[in-house]
Amino acid sequence: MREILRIAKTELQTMFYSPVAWFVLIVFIVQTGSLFFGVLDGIASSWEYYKGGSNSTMSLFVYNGGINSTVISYLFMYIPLLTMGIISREISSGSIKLLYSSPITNSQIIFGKYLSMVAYVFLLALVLVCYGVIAIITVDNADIPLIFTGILGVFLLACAYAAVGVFISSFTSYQIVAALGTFVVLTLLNYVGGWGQTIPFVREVTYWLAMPGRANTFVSGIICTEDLIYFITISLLFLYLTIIHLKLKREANGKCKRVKYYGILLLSVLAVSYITTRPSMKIYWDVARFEPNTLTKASQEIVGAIGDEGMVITTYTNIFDSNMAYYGTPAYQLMDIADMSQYTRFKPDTKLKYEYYYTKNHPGYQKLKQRYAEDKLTDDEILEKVANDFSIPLRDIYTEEEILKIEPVIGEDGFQIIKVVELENGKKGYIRYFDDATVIPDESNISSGLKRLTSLDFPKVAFVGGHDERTGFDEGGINYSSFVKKKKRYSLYNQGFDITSVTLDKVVPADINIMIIADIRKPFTEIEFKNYQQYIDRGGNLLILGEPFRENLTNEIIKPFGMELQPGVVVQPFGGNKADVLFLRPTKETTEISYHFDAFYNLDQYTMSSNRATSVKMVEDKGFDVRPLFVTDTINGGSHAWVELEQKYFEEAPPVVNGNVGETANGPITMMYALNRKIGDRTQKIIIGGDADIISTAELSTSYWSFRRQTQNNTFIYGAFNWFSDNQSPVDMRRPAPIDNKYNSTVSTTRDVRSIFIYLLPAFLLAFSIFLTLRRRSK
Amino acid sequence: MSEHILSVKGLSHKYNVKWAIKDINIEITQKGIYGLLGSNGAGKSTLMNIVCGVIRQTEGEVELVGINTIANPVESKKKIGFLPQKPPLHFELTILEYLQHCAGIRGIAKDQVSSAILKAMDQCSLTHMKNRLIKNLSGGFQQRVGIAQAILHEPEVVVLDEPTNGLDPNQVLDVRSLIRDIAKNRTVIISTHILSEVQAICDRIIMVEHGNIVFNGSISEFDNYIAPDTILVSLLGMPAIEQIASIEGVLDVVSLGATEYRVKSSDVQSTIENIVQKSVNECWKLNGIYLEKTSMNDVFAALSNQK
Repeated sequence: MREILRIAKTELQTMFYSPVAWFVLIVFIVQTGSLFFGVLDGIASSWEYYKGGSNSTMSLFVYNGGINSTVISYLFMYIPLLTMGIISREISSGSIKLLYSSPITNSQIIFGKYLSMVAYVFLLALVLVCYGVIAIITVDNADIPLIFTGILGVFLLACAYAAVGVFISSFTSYQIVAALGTFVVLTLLNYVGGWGQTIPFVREVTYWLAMPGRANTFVSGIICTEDLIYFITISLLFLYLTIIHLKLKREANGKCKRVKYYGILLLSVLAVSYITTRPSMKIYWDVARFEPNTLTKASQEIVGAIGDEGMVITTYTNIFDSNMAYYGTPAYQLMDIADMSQYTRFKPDTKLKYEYYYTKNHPGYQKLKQRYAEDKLTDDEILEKVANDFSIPLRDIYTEEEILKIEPVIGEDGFQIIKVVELENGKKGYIRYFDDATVIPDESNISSGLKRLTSLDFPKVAFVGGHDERTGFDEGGINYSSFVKKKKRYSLYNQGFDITSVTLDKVVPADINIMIIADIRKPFTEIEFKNYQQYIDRGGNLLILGEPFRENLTNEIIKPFGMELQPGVVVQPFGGNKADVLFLRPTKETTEISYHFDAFYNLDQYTMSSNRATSVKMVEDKGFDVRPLFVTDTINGGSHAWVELEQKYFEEAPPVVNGNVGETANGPITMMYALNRKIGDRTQKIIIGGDADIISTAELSTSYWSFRRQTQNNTFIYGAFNWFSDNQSPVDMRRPAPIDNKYNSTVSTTRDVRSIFIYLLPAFLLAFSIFLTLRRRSK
Repeated sequence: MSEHILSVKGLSHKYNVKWAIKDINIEITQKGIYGLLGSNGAGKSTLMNIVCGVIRQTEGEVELVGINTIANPVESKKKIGFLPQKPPLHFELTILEYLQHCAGIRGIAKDQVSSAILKAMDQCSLTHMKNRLIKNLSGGFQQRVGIAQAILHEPEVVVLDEPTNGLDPNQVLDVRSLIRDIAKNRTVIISTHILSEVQAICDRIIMVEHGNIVFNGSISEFDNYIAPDTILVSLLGMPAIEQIASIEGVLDVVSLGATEYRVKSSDVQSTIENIVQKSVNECWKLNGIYLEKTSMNDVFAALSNQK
């Protein structure tokens, strides 16, 4: 050990007696200082001028522009300058013979040299530690473990890069060649992660070699044994490669000996990698506050409820689906494994499989036909071409018939990519992909899919039909298919609800606990009323939405709750809107029924748009707790809302308040109520509103941004159904709000400290290094 | 039986497919200065590098003070000091810093480092400039620093590869004197091209040529390696060349001007007797007669071409 320390000490002496070490240190301080204080200045200004700011630790160290994540991306430019001479200088000066003829081993030489590099990169890490300390002082409740885990990631990456640099340096006597060689290799390692994704073995190798990705795991606040051991392994790999290289260089060897040495090393690395990458061998520490990298408690409970049954998640991909196929192809597999890693973390015996099929019953096939029309490709040739493009062997691709035998749901879903989760006991769940910008399922979608495998309750929603109501199973703007369709991410179906339709000519099935009656246009028959009343009496939940000018039909069915829709249409003209387009705001009571409404209530620009609505009024106490849920806009227009009784349409002329017919602009007007009462051991929950459009496909896709309003009609759906399902669905994805928001210093102090770091300290170091160099030169 | 200081048995080494040295056997049992001679590419650097543990031989064994260099490389290296042809210096360090580094990697006990460094610097006359940067030293002093590191740990064998190469005549003399000094209590092996150097400081010569040892003996043995075949004669009577040539045993005669002649013969002893007899008979006034000695260069050339 003493010899190793001696070599390291001499190496450090040599480094600091040359300008390179100083140059790298000074540039590192200036560059990282500019970055860090740039973000810190933003936080300081935001706090000083607006008392704004959130999640400051993440902004400073993790997010795009955060110091730790940025340093990782350009670390590969620093290391070659440090390692270029570490062995090549010894070779060119001949001093390597001093080491070789001394009573020390090759390992001692290399570990001594490497230790000096570790010491130097530790110094660089200390610079980051300084920023960490500044953050801890200036940001209230800074997330200290997150900061230091990130710095550990940077440090480990730099150590691994240094090992690569040492290895390259042992190949040449020219420092510049070593520097360029290391730079090229590190650049490759920086980008290699995305290469060869379509070839399974190459994909594994390139993924393994991609070091920055591993360091980013640390930066985001996760310490995983796999990544920790990875950095130790890859550093040792390059160090032992160097040792073997030097050893073989000094010996006259046959090929056998080379193969033996490299073979043993490679096998050792493979063995360590294999063992440490087994999901059951991985241990995670999500050190960041509130564990943002870990599944939410609700998701963890779902995974836990699956129990010990073996689970296989198979992704079935229609390779003809040009929009979504990519997410199932070999090129995406490693990312898919990463996407699912939080689930495999909690259920390590999960197996991920990938299957492929093709079908002509998909629009993608027509697109391909058109694309290859000029080439006059036959169907078989198209299949071959697509399979080749995705690097999937033809023999591994199922036909439509074959795939439907394996998994009929694929056909029901319109032949798009789907994950089928299957337990050993045969239970199945489905995780869908979506035709939106993100495509892949998020945690709420995956957890909802997994929930179907558990014994956990699953709320069942039924659309009442038979009176020309609006339902989720009918297309068209006025209907509700956008939150019912399986293809939609935010569909209730993909948020943990079962959805069906029901008619009231029969007793409502016992498993239905939420019914939607929207805009009935025909009265209930006697038998329907009877079954309806029975459902109410057993405590079933209801969402009833009416429409202006048809309020009488709805009033018949809300009579049991003591509620009534009012005649006329509610208007609130302001700033050029169509008078009957309303921007509804939640009341304080709204936040009591579901956490989904918290942000909605707190942010003024959030609104629920309503297009032609009538108001709701409580006319009789029927023993329900009644809460007003939504009222006309209280921000713009204030009380200037009224029930317009004369004018029906407002495209051509705005309405006017006519007191003679009883119109008074005395808003805000309550547009929706929530009612609840205890029945037995459960709480019956009912929502009644005067506009059936608020959750229609057309309204959900309408933007009112020109009025500076962000519509939250979707939030209403989740909030309402979350309330109906007694908080079982959608899966609760909430995480605690960040608490590192307050800034404890001022902008001017921040800028002063910034000047110290990016001007004074580098200037001092520069002066000191020049002084040291001149002083030594004179010796 | 005295213990071997250095024992090389059946040593062979090849680079790729070409043998650099082949079946070398050397035994050194006595202290002294050994000159390792050989023309460029003869294999002497390979031999030195193997002995010092810089490279590992393909075949054969080397033992230093009874320690096998392959079985126990670390221990054997403690017994040897090595100055390669290009001194293994760290030019950015001062002499003291450099020697501290050398002491560290040579395994000198912590409490003995200072005294070892002082002793080595003293012996190499470096003490007064211990804080000088090595890169600012003259070639001679750099060479001294190289020698200092080789003797720092007081090894029993010191190997110096062309230690006076590139030095000016004064520096050469200084370094030779230093070598003589350090050889007082240890074995020194010097590799050199310079025959006068061998003559000046070495006790024995080992000559390597084409990867083989072609000579191993004392300086005088080396000098007499080739029997002389020319006689220098001074005859004041200045006889004609033909007269001398007619003497029995004389193969050739060359006049060197005035009274001097160089006579080549097949059997020098009988020819000398014949010349003396003839000069007495012919009154040639024999002024002097002696054998012309073979030069080291000739021996070197002869040995180099032996194979």
